[in-house]
Amino acid sequence: MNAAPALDALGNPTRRAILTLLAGGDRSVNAIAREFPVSRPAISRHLRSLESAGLVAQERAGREHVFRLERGGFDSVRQWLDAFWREALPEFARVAEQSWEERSR
Amino acid sequence: MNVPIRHSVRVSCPPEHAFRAFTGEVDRWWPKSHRGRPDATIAFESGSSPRLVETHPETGVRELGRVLCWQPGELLSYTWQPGAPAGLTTVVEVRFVADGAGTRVDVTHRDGDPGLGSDWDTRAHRFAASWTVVLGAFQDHIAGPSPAEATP
Repeated sequence: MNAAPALDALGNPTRRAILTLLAGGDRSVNAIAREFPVSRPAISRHLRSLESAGLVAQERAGREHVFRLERGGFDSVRQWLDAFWREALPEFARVAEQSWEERSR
Repeated sequence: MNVPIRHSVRVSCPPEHAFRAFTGEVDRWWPKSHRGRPDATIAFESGSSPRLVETHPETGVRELGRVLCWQPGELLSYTWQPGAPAGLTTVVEVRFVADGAGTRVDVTHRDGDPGLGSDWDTRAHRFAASWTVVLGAFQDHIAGPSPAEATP
């Protein structure tokens, strides 16, 4: 899974705040926009970016678009970071032990 | 969801050397798959405000993070922005603990913005908008309290 879009999307504080807000419950665009001192079109742009990163999804409820958190984007970030350490730490141990042996010789 | 991410490894050398290898030989262990370009080099710069940087002949020097704590043989912590320059800021804490003749290296990786950017929109920060908080709240939101949280 490619984590880059989610990492990019999470880099913005307003977008992180939107996610935290949605963690408290699904909300319409208007309900989200009311919480921020930025324009509704700006909030819509943030939501689009979060949606394409797989962090939120929307559903139509009557005349409103309701947004909710989506698991995929979060999982991709976590898996990417997890994979980093799974690969890095054994390699670090090998490098450290090798250079220690060289020093001790 | 069990946040932050934790990993440990045991190495057969003293903590001082493990620290030296982690920092001074970072380019040898940092996965190629997690670099901006596979042939870029990674280094902890020394100096008064040390940084973690990635260097490539074509793209130049790129800051990946900043060192927050540098205690040789004991503790290293630094910020890491995997999607630098615009990505999420995460904080890595590495503890070097003597373990018999060797060292146990404990990595804790969480999100966070220790310098807390001044780019916060005025009202945004009233939500503790961090990755850990978001992930934790997300877990509660979809599944109720997780068993992992009930047994620390």
